[in-house]
Amino acid sequence: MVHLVTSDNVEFVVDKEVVERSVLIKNMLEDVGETDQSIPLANVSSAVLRKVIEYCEHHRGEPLPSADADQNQDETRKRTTDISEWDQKFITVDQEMLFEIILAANYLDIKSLLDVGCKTVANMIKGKTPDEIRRLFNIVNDFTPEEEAQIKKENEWAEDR
Amino acid sequence: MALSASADGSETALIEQCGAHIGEDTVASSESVPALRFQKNTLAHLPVEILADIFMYIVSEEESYMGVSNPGGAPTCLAVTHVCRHWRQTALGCSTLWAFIDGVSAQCLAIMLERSKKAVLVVIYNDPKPLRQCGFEKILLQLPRIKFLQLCPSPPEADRILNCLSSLPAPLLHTFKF
Repeated sequence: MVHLVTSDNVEFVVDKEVVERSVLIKNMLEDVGETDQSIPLANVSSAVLRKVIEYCEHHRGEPLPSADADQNQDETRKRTTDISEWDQKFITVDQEMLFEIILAANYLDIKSLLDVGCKTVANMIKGKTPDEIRRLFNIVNDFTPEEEAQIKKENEWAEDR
Repeated sequence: MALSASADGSETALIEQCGAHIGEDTVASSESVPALRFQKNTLAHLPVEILADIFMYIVSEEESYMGVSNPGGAPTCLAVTHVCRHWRQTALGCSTLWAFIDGVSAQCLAIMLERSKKAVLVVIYNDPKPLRQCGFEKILLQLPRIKFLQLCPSPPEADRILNCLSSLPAPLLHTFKF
Protein backbone atom coordinates (compact mmCIF):
# COMPACT_ATOMS: atom_id res chain seq x y z
CA MET A 1 0.00 0.00 0.00
CA VAL A 2 1.10 3.56 -0.71
CA HIS A 3 0.48 6.55 1.57
CA LEU A 4 -0.38 9.83 -0.13
CA VAL A 5 -0.83 13.18 1.63
CA THR A 6 -2.82 15.92 -0.08
CA SER A 7 -2.37 19.71 -0.01
CA ASP A 8 -5.04 19.95 2.73
CA ASN A 9 -3.14 17.37 4.78
CA VAL A 10 -5.43 14.38 4.33
CA GLU A 11 -3.76 10.98 4.12
CA PHE A 12 -4.91 8.35 1.63
CA VAL A 13 -3.74 4.75 1.69
CA VAL A 14 -3.99 3.34 -1.79
CA ASP A 15 -3.19 0.04 -3.46
CA LYS A 16 0.15 0.20 -5.31
CA GLU A 17 -1.36 -1.18 -8.53
CA VAL A 18 -4.01 1.57 -8.47
CA VAL A 19 -1.71 4.46 -7.67
CA GLU A 20 0.85 3.39 -10.25
CA ARG A 21 -1.49 4.54 -12.99
CA SER A 22 0.17 7.84 -12.17
CA VAL A 23 3.49 7.83 -14.00
CA LEU A 24 4.79 10.45 -11.54
CA ILE A 25 4.09 8.24 -8.51
CA LYS A 26 5.21 5.08 -10.32
CA ASN A 27 8.59 6.69 -11.07
CA MET A 28 8.85 8.00 -7.51
CA LEU A 29 8.24 4.53 -6.09
CA GLU A 30 10.78 3.02 -8.47
CA ASP A 31 13.36 5.61 -7.41
CA VAL A 32 12.71 5.34 -3.68
CA GLY A 33 11.92 1.63 -3.50
CA GLU A 34 9.71 0.04 -0.81
CA THR A 35 8.87 2.68 1.79
CA ASP A 36 6.26 3.40 4.46
CA GLN A 37 6.83 7.11 4.13
CA SER A 38 3.98 9.24 2.83
CA ILE A 39 4.25 10.89 -0.56
CA PRO A 40 3.22 14.55 -0.34
CA LEU A 41 1.05 15.80 -3.21
CA ALA A 42 1.26 19.55 -2.69
CA ASN A 43 -0.75 20.37 -5.82
CA VAL A 44 -3.73 18.08 -5.21
CA SER A 45 -6.53 18.57 -2.68
CA SER A 46 -8.28 15.67 -0.95
CA ALA A 47 -11.54 16.23 -2.90
CA VAL A 48 -9.67 15.98 -6.19
CA LEU A 49 -7.46 13.06 -5.15
CA ARG A 50 -10.58 11.14 -4.10
CA LYS A 51 -11.89 11.52 -7.68
CA VAL A 52 -8.52 10.63 -9.19
CA ILE A 53 -8.32 7.45 -7.09
CA GLU A 54 -11.89 6.55 -8.10
CA TYR A 55 -10.80 6.81 -11.75
CA CYS A 56 -7.61 4.82 -11.21
CA GLU A 57 -9.46 2.08 -9.33
CA HIS A 58 -11.99 1.71 -12.12
CA HIS A 59 -9.24 1.45 -14.74
CA ARG A 60 -7.00 -0.79 -12.60
CA GLY A 61 -5.14 -3.37 -14.67
CA GLU A 62 -5.74 -1.70 -18.03
CA PRO A 63 -2.58 -1.24 -20.13
CA LEU A 64 -0.94 2.15 -19.71
CA PRO A 65 -0.51 4.22 -22.89
CA SER A 66 3.02 3.98 -24.26
CA ALA A 67 5.24 7.03 -24.43
CA ASP A 68 5.03 7.24 -28.22
CA ALA A 69 1.24 6.80 -28.33
CA ASP A 70 0.78 10.52 -28.86
CA GLN A 71 3.08 10.59 -31.83
CA ASN A 72 1.33 7.62 -33.41
CA GLN A 73 -2.01 9.29 -32.79
CA ASP A 74 -0.83 12.43 -34.51
CA GLU A 75 0.39 10.46 -37.47
CA THR A 76 -2.80 8.49 -37.96
CA ARG A 77 -5.00 11.41 -36.93
CA LYS A 78 -7.48 9.21 -35.17
CA ARG A 79 -7.95 11.34 -32.11
CA THR A 80 -11.66 11.41 -31.51
CA THR A 81 -13.58 13.02 -28.69
CA ASP A 82 -15.45 9.79 -27.87
CA ILE A 83 -15.59 9.06 -24.13
CA SER A 84 -16.73 5.76 -22.63
CA GLU A 85 -20.00 5.71 -20.71
CA TRP A 86 -18.34 5.22 -17.31
CA ASP A 87 -15.78 7.96 -17.94
CA GLN A 88 -18.54 10.30 -19.08
CA LYS A 89 -20.47 9.76 -15.87
CA PHE A 90 -17.28 10.11 -13.84
CA ILE A 91 -16.35 13.43 -15.43
CA THR A 92 -19.82 14.94 -15.06
CA VAL A 93 -18.73 17.44 -12.40
CA ASP A 94 -18.85 21.22 -12.04
CA GLN A 95 -16.39 23.31 -14.02
CA GLU A 96 -14.10 24.01 -11.08
CA MET A 97 -13.74 20.29 -10.30
CA LEU A 98 -13.21 19.52 -13.99
CA PHE A 99 -10.42 22.11 -14.04
CA GLU A 100 -8.85 20.63 -10.91
CA ILE A 101 -9.07 17.06 -12.26
CA ILE A 102 -7.37 18.11 -15.51
CA LEU A 103 -4.58 19.87 -13.60
CA ALA A 104 -4.16 16.91 -11.23
CA ALA A 105 -4.04 14.42 -14.12
CA ASN A 106 -1.41 16.58 -15.79
CA TYR A 107 0.65 16.88 -12.59
CA LEU A 108 0.35 13.19 -11.68
CA ASP A 109 0.95 12.23 -15.31
CA ILE A 110 -2.17 10.09 -15.81
CA LYS A 111 -2.53 10.44 -19.56
CA SER A 112 -5.85 8.65 -19.98
CA LEU A 113 -7.50 10.84 -17.33
CA LEU A 114 -6.02 13.98 -18.85
CA ASP A 115 -7.45 12.87 -22.21
CA VAL A 116 -10.91 12.38 -20.70
CA GLY A 117 -10.76 15.89 -19.23
CA CYS A 118 -9.52 17.48 -22.46
CA LYS A 119 -12.10 15.64 -24.57
CA THR A 120 -14.84 16.79 -22.21
CA VAL A 121 -13.82 20.42 -22.59
CA ALA A 122 -13.43 19.96 -26.37
CA ASN A 123 -16.98 18.61 -26.53
CA MET A 124 -18.20 21.62 -24.55
CA ILE A 125 -16.53 24.00 -27.03
CA LYS A 126 -17.48 22.23 -30.28
CA GLY A 127 -19.96 24.08 -32.47
CA LYS A 128 -20.12 27.17 -30.25
CA THR A 129 -19.47 30.76 -31.22
CA PRO A 130 -16.81 32.77 -29.33
CA ASP A 131 -19.59 34.58 -27.45
CA GLU A 132 -21.20 31.33 -26.38
CA ILE A 133 -17.81 29.96 -25.26
CA ARG A 134 -17.16 33.09 -23.18
CA ARG A 135 -20.54 32.79 -21.49
CA LEU A 136 -20.09 29.06 -20.84
CA PHE A 137 -16.69 29.42 -19.17
CA ASN A 138 -17.19 32.88 -17.68
CA ILE A 139 -14.32 34.29 -19.76
CA VAL A 140 -13.76 38.02 -19.99
CA ASN A 141 -13.28 39.47 -23.46
CA ASP A 142 -9.92 41.19 -22.88
CA PHE A 143 -9.04 42.09 -26.46
CA THR A 144 -7.72 45.56 -27.18
CA PRO A 145 -9.62 47.66 -29.76
CA GLU A 146 -6.86 46.88 -32.28
CA GLU A 147 -7.23 43.14 -31.69
CA GLU A 148 -11.02 43.46 -31.95
CA ALA A 149 -10.56 45.13 -35.35
CA GLN A 150 -8.30 42.29 -36.50
CA ILE A 151 -10.85 39.71 -35.27
CA LYS A 152 -13.62 41.48 -37.15
CA LYS A 153 -11.50 41.31 -40.30
CA GLU A 154 -10.81 37.60 -39.78
CA ASN A 155 -14.52 36.92 -39.43
CA GLU A 156 -15.22 38.73 -42.68
CA TRP A 157 -12.49 36.70 -44.42
CA ALA A 158 -13.87 33.46 -43.04
CA GLU A 159 -17.38 34.24 -44.24
CA ASP A 160 -16.20 35.42 -47.66
CA ARG A 161 -16.97 32.16 -49.44
CA MET B 1 -10.01 57.62 0.42
CA ALA B 2 -10.76 61.23 1.43
CA LEU B 3 -10.45 62.08 5.13
CA SER B 4 -11.20 65.31 6.83
CA ALA B 5 -10.52 66.10 10.49
CA SER B 6 -13.03 68.27 12.27
CA ALA B 7 -12.24 71.99 12.68
CA ASP B 8 -11.11 71.60 16.25
CA GLY B 9 -8.63 68.91 15.03
CA SER B 10 -10.20 66.15 17.04
CA GLU B 11 -7.90 63.13 16.68
CA THR B 12 -10.66 60.84 17.88
CA ALA B 13 -12.91 61.79 14.97
CA LEU B 14 -10.09 61.21 12.50
CA ILE B 15 -9.31 57.79 13.97
CA GLU B 16 -13.00 56.84 13.81
CA GLN B 17 -13.17 57.96 10.18
CA CYS B 18 -10.08 55.89 9.33
CA GLY B 19 -11.53 52.90 11.11
CA ALA B 20 -14.77 53.18 9.15
CA HIS B 21 -12.92 53.38 5.82
CA ILE B 22 -10.70 50.42 6.70
CA GLY B 23 -13.81 48.45 7.61
CA GLU B 24 -15.42 49.27 4.25
CA ASP B 25 -12.24 48.31 2.38
CA THR B 26 -11.97 45.02 4.26
CA VAL B 27 -15.57 44.09 3.41
CA ALA B 28 -15.02 45.00 -0.26
CA SER B 29 -11.81 42.94 -0.41
CA SER B 30 -13.32 39.89 1.25
CA GLU B 31 -16.21 40.03 -1.23
CA SER B 32 -13.91 40.21 -4.24
CA VAL B 33 -11.52 37.41 -3.17
CA PRO B 34 -13.91 34.49 -3.83
CA ALA B 35 -14.87 36.05 -7.15
CA LEU B 36 -11.21 36.35 -8.16
CA ARG B 37 -10.50 32.84 -6.97
CA PHE B 38 -13.36 31.50 -9.07
CA GLN B 39 -12.18 33.43 -12.10
CA LYS B 40 -8.64 32.02 -11.71
CA ASN B 41 -9.84 28.48 -11.20
CA THR B 42 -11.81 28.17 -14.39
CA LEU B 43 -11.18 26.35 -17.61
CA ALA B 44 -10.32 29.65 -19.24
CA HIS B 45 -7.02 29.69 -17.37
CA LEU B 46 -5.75 26.23 -18.22
CA PRO B 47 -2.02 26.05 -18.99
CA VAL B 48 -1.06 26.57 -22.62
CA GLU B 49 -0.08 22.95 -23.37
CA ILE B 50 -3.38 21.56 -22.03
CA LEU B 51 -5.46 24.19 -23.82
CA ALA B 52 -3.62 23.44 -27.07
CA ASP B 53 -4.41 19.75 -26.59
CA ILE B 54 -8.10 20.57 -26.15
CA PHE B 55 -8.09 22.66 -29.33
CA MET B 56 -6.40 19.80 -31.21
CA TYR B 57 -9.17 17.43 -30.18
CA ILE B 58 -11.74 19.73 -31.76
CA VAL B 59 -9.85 20.00 -35.03
CA SER B 60 -9.00 16.27 -35.12
CA GLU B 61 -12.68 15.46 -34.74
CA GLU B 62 -13.47 17.64 -37.75
CA GLU B 63 -10.68 15.93 -39.63
CA SER B 64 -12.11 12.50 -38.95
CA TYR B 65 -15.09 13.53 -41.10
CA MET B 66 -12.87 14.91 -43.84
CA GLY B 67 -14.38 14.94 -47.23
CA VAL B 68 -17.81 14.24 -45.77
CA SER B 69 -18.40 17.46 -43.90
CA ASN B 70 -19.95 20.46 -45.49
CA PRO B 71 -18.39 23.27 -43.52
CA GLY B 72 -20.09 26.58 -43.04
CA GLY B 73 -18.96 29.68 -41.12
CA ALA B 74 -15.55 30.15 -39.60
CA PRO B 75 -13.30 27.13 -39.00
CA THR B 76 -13.19 26.12 -35.30
CA CYS B 77 -9.50 26.98 -35.07
CA LEU B 78 -10.44 30.56 -35.93
CA ALA B 79 -13.35 30.64 -33.46
CA VAL B 80 -11.11 29.76 -30.49
CA THR B 81 -8.78 32.67 -31.31
CA HIS B 82 -11.71 35.06 -30.90
CA VAL B 83 -12.53 34.16 -27.28
CA CYS B 84 -9.82 35.94 -25.25
CA ARG B 85 -6.13 36.81 -25.47
CA HIS B 86 -4.92 33.70 -23.64
CA TRP B 87 -6.83 31.42 -26.00
CA ARG B 88 -5.72 33.42 -29.04
CA GLN B 89 -2.04 33.28 -28.09
CA THR B 90 -2.34 29.56 -27.36
CA ALA B 91 -4.02 28.81 -30.70
CA LEU B 92 -1.59 30.98 -32.67
CA GLY B 93 1.32 29.11 -31.12
CA CYS B 94 -0.05 25.72 -32.16
CA SER B 95 0.81 25.25 -35.85
CA THR B 96 -0.96 21.89 -36.28
CA LEU B 97 -4.25 23.54 -35.31
CA TRP B 98 -4.19 25.39 -38.64
CA ALA B 99 -3.24 22.43 -40.79
CA PHE B 100 -6.75 21.19 -41.64
CA ILE B 101 -7.97 23.34 -44.51
CA ASP B 102 -11.51 22.57 -45.61
CA GLY B 103 -13.00 24.81 -48.29
CA VAL B 104 -11.93 28.08 -46.69
CA SER B 105 -11.92 31.45 -48.47
CA ALA B 106 -8.80 32.86 -50.17
CA GLN B 107 -7.98 35.18 -47.28
CA CYS B 108 -8.66 32.50 -44.72
CA LEU B 109 -6.41 30.15 -46.69
CA ALA B 110 -3.60 32.71 -46.52
CA ILE B 111 -4.03 32.98 -42.73
CA MET B 112 -4.06 29.21 -42.28
CA LEU B 113 -1.01 28.62 -44.48
CA GLU B 114 0.90 31.24 -42.52
CA ARG B 115 -0.19 30.03 -39.08
CA SER B 116 0.33 26.35 -39.86
CA LYS B 117 4.03 27.19 -40.42
CA LYS B 118 5.65 23.89 -41.48
CA ALA B 119 2.91 21.53 -40.23
CA VAL B 120 1.73 18.71 -42.48
CA LEU B 121 -1.47 19.74 -44.25
CA VAL B 122 -4.84 18.23 -45.09
CA VAL B 123 -6.47 20.25 -47.89
CA ILE B 124 -10.05 19.73 -49.04
CA TYR B 125 -11.96 21.78 -51.58
CA ASN B 126 -15.21 20.04 -52.45
CA ASP B 127 -16.61 23.11 -54.17
CA PRO B 128 -14.98 24.53 -57.34
CA LYS B 129 -16.00 28.11 -56.47
CA PRO B 130 -13.77 28.71 -53.42
CA LEU B 131 -11.04 26.67 -55.09
CA ARG B 132 -11.14 29.02 -58.09
CA GLN B 133 -11.09 32.06 -55.78
CA CYS B 134 -8.11 30.74 -53.84
CA GLY B 135 -6.23 29.67 -56.94
CA PHE B 136 -5.10 26.06 -56.94
CA GLU B 137 -1.54 27.17 -57.70
CA LYS B 138 -1.35 28.68 -54.21
CA ILE B 139 -2.41 25.35 -52.74
CA LEU B 140 -0.10 23.25 -54.90
CA LEU B 141 2.87 25.39 -53.83
CA GLN B 142 2.38 23.70 -50.45
CA LEU B 143 2.50 20.22 -51.99
CA PRO B 144 5.75 19.20 -50.24
CA ARG B 145 3.88 19.32 -46.91
CA ILE B 146 0.42 18.13 -47.99
CA LYS B 147 -0.52 14.58 -46.97
CA PHE B 148 -4.17 14.58 -48.02
CA LEU B 149 -5.45 16.52 -51.01
CA GLN B 150 -9.01 16.52 -52.26
CA LEU B 151 -9.99 18.98 -54.96
CA CYS B 152 -13.08 19.52 -57.03
CA PRO B 153 -11.87 21.59 -59.96
CA SER B 154 -13.62 22.50 -63.21
CA PRO B 155 -12.50 20.33 -66.22
CA PRO B 156 -9.94 22.82 -67.67
CA GLU B 157 -8.43 23.31 -64.22
CA ALA B 158 -8.24 19.55 -63.68
CA ASP B 159 -5.72 19.13 -66.51
CA ARG B 160 -3.58 21.96 -65.21
CA ILE B 161 -3.67 20.54 -61.70
CA LEU B 162 -2.58 17.12 -62.96
CA ASN B 163 0.29 18.74 -64.87
CA CYS B 164 1.41 20.57 -61.74
CA LEU B 165 1.12 17.44 -59.66
CA SER B 166 3.35 15.46 -61.97
CA SER B 167 6.06 18.11 -61.86
CA LEU B 168 6.12 18.94 -58.13
CA PRO B 169 7.61 16.88 -55.28
CA ALA B 170 5.00 15.46 -52.92
CA PRO B 171 6.91 13.32 -50.41
CA LEU B 172 4.15 13.25 -47.80
CA LEU B 173 1.12 12.94 -50.07
CA HIS B 174 -0.64 9.66 -49.39
CA THR B 175 -4.14 10.48 -50.65
CA PHE B 176 -5.18 12.50 -53.65
CA LYS B 177 -8.80 12.71 -54.75
CA PHE B 178 -10.59 14.54 -57.53
